[in-house]
Amino acid sequence: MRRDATAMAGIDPITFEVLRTALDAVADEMAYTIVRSARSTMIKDCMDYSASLCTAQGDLIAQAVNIPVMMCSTPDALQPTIAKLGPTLAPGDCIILSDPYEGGSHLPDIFMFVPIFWQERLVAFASTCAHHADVGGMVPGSGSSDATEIFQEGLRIPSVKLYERGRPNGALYELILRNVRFPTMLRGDLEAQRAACLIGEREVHRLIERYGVDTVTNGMTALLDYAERIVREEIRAMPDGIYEFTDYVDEDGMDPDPIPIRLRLEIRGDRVIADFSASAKQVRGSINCSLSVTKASTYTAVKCFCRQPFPPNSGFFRPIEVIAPEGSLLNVAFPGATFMRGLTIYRINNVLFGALAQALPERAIAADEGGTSIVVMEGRDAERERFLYMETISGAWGARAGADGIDCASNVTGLQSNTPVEVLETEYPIEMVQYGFVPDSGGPGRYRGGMSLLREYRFLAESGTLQIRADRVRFAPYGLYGGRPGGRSANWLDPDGANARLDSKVKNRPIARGEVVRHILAGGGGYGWTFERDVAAVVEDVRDGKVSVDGARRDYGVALDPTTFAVDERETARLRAAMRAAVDPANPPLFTR
Amino acid sequence: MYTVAVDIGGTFTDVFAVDAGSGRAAMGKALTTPADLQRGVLDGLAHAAGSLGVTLPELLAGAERMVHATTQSSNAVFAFSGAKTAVLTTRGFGDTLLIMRATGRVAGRSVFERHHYRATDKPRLLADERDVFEIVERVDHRGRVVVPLDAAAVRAAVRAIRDRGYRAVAVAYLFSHQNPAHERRTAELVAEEAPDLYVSLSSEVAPVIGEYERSATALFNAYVGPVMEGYLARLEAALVDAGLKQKLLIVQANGGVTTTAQVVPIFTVESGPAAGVVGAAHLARALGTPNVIATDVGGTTFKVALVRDGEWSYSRETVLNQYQLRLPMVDVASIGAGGGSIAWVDGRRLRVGPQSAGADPGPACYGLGGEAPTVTDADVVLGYLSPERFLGGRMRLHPERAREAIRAHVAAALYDGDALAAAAGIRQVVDSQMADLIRKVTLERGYDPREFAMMAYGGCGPAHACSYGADAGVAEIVVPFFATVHSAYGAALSDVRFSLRHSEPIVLPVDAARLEAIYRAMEARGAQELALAEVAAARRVYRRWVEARFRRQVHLVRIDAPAEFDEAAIAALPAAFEREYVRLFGPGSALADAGIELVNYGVDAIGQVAKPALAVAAPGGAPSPRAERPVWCPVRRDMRATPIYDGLALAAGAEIAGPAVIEHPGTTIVVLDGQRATIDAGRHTHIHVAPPKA
Repeated sequence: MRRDATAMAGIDPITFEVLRTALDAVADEMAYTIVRSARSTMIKDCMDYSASLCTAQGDLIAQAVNIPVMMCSTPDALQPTIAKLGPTLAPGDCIILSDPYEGGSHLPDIFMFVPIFWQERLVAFASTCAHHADVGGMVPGSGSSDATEIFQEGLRIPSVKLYERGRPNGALYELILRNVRFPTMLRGDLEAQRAACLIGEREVHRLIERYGVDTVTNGMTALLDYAERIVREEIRAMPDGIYEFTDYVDEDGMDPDPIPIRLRLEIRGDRVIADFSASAKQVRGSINCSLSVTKASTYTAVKCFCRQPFPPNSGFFRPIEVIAPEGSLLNVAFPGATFMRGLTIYRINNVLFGALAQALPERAIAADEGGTSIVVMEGRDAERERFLYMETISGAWGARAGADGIDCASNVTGLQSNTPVEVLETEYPIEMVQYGFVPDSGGPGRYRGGMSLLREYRFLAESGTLQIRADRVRFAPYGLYGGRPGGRSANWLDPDGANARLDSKVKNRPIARGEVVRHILAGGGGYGWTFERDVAAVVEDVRDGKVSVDGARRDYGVALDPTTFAVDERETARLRAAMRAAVDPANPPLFTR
Repeated sequence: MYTVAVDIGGTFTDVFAVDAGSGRAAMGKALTTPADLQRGVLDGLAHAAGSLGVTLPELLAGAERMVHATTQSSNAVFAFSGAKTAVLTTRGFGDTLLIMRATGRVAGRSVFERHHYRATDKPRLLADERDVFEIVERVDHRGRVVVPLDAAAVRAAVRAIRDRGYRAVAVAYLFSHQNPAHERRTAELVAEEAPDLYVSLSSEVAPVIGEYERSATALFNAYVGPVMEGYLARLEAALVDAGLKQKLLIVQANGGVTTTAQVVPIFTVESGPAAGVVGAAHLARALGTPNVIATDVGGTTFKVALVRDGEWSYSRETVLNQYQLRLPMVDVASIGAGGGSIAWVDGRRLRVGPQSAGADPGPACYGLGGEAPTVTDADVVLGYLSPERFLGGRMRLHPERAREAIRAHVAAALYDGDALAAAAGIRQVVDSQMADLIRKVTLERGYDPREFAMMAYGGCGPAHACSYGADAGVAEIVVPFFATVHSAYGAALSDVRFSLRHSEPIVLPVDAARLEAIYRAMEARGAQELALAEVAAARRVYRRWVEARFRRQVHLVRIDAPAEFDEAAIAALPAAFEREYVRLFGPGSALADAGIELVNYGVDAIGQVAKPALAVAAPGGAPSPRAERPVWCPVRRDMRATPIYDGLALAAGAEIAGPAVIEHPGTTIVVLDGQRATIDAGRHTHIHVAPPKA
């Protein structure tokens, strides 16, 4: 065990550890620089950006973590750029890229790469990616559920040099800024990305001055090898086999049909092969993903199932192969639309977790709420001033083997937070009627899924429109190994009056003063047989109002007194015996939905 | 007449005492006694009294000012030993403290922990759903009552709370920061129905917008309230028994003190580090280096704060046990790295911390049964710390145990058993972690670390600053003469301070009278508090600030507000705001066309105390080393014979070339090869770092 992994590259363990933390710190400094100097709220407030360092070959070395999926797609954006522009790269160059058909993710995400040279030798890249407020296209903000081809979603930027040897390409800049709605903001945000990349360059130079260029580049190689070794060890310890799982997006907002994501996951030795070939064909709406996004989602999910920590760099991608045929939902063919692919990312994650749950039941997590919902209300306030309110809402986590699901936390794939009621009411003509958990909505199981979250709004402006992007209305979040699904998502208009059901995707519906909209996120799935849940835990949940007295009896086979919460032992034993007799207790179904 | 301050830390209880007449100052140090904190306090006081040549009763009887920084509230929070607490809140919003804005899993956690998806969870709840009682009432965002308070429902809830054995109740209604009437009426009803319940109103402890953070602040205050009341009453009684004649003053997280009768219990959380920053700011002004990075290396944590133009700043948000609170708190960042941090091997990597050996058993070299190798053990093996001089010679260290711990747990796996190389590695890893935090803190706040001097204190700071300071890029490092009891030193100098706050979104331009009314109301309240604390009118000062933002943005920026608002002062606000915004977020970032919105307003009502002038007797003569011993040289990577100086024997103006070790009672200053140390008139040590190669 002595000195082996790092000694390969001639790096002692101290220098290795110091370089590792120093490179992480550089990525962090780059990220601060972006948030400090950016102008748009998507970057400043929603933190939809990321920063990283890559090797001269385009391998990811260190990342500042905000949006994990965005980060892991960096090599797939950088490597085609190196192939295309490699021989022409020079100090002071700065390359941008957004086209998903050339390695990009979706059009608002603009990657920027700055090659870092040391005495005329290319040693690394500083890379940033940020979600820009508007990149042109048919609607403000560039994102529309109605888009059916990429030309409707804004300006496509192939990998081109925005700066060449330190000098801006004025013609290119002018062309870009002419095609977007908020040119000053875009320019400011691009310059923020560049400032961050230049910080990255400066700090890598500082490390080289201190440790020597060979130590730094060898250290990068050692870091990649280190992560690869750990991940291969982890995969080797997973049972070999083929694990299949399917989950669905309710619909894409254009066509009514459910959209399946089918995975055949093979674990063989120290390799993982994720084959999505049987998934849906490309859809008409804008929820298609580029292959790089599908790969990044797969890497993130595999990492969740590893036990040992390791640096999240390209080394850990090496043992993982991802297959999705071109022209499918998960590998979109030109000219498919991709803006709303976020919803699909959430579902890819659910499918990967479902497949990995079969290999590693003891580390599994049942399905979460299915991703954040988006609620948008627009209209004119009392002063006739136009307002546009948009929020993302995070909900429940699925139950884990050994622990209940979290009742409301930001999704595994992001770090958003929910808008405070007092801020919402102060700034917009909207009243929050109630905001809380829904009893009996967490998927029952030996470990309970997280509870559904309910948000109920009263519209106070004269008139306006409502949009909601929800899912999991038709296909509930699955429970695992006897655990039951979480409660479904639902949208209601006027819940205490006409109580009209709304679609999962509400598109520009007129809304009038006094109308009440209730949005319910799905609950998390449960884990394990419900009748095996600790009776005391059920009683605790009833005392907290998380499970009703009826729910305890119906879902868990626990009979208790509604006022004293005293358990009727005999009745409970009878109920649970009946539940047990109705199934094959030793062979729980993998999933229930 | 003495000014005396006691600071209880995780490992040591520190005392600083100064005789106002002669300016003579003394330190006291004792091991913290967690089971009975008073014992450590009295031990430390006795130690300081001895140094001043008086008895403990004489010191206490002669104290005109007795200041205390306590960890009691922090302990109650982190050990979950507070009172059983119920919550009253607005109907329809009872889950606010459980939802936690979806941030409860990750708030305050490192990136490494955030990624540990299966192992992370929300925090242990201080109040679960059953502890929350929803009350029919509603106030809108302008403070207008939409639904009146249902007093009968409050009475019924309070009776239930009393009968179920709760000892404290937090009251947190929507928009109570705009109109506290319902919360105040509720407090009256609680007093009628259950006079023994401790009550905390959100509109009093955090009168700011944001229902989750305001509720959480009220909840934590209620949770620690009964514990703190009991503790302070017992301590004050014990000190009075021992001779104290004056009221005990308590340090708060805002860097000021208050009386035990006026203290808001949760405001004392993390008050020791705040007092350290007060001391650093005072010293920065006195030394004429107003921009300072204050660094404190204790047994378990490394703390960083910035002093600009001689002033500290306040943090926007406090995270305690993954809950987000709004407290008036000096902005101090920290990581789990200190003298007690444990070195371990993770696969094939050398890691240090965040686990700590604490005070008991402590580092292996303490000989108290600790077997894990710590940073202090590495310092002993490398020759930086003298086994005979630790704690001023009151505790003998065991270098052979340090060496064995490092050999067994680190060197065997990574260094072919070479304990020396492993010790050097431990030090390098922990120092670079500290330098990373310094860079992060300065850059995040819009500054370049190279524009600052550094101050290093705490038991271990002076031994490590030569490395992390040089790494962070500062040119000068100041080690205060009283570095080892620096928080107690700062506490002794702390003014009386009440931080008042108000939220009210107003888009500029605004009528001057409206702003004046907001500030005058806070100042009137501040005047009442200062009067209660017996601050003479001539010593009262009010400092105003405002937090503003570009409309529809999230980022609030705090700027100083003028002592009186007239039309000209209001006209000057946008430019002042934009200047600070651009400084924080970069040139060209200001969105002038967006409009500027004022959101939060504050007044610090300050009762200034006279700062005792210290008369530090200095010996004369040129510096001569007390001894020479082998000490690790990180440049040549070997042990070199290095001169050891007695810090107390160094005269003002003395100059020492590195490498050198300067030993003071309780702390050791390391000067590396290529660095130079000078001693100033106040006997503070300045380490001059050679500028890095361009």
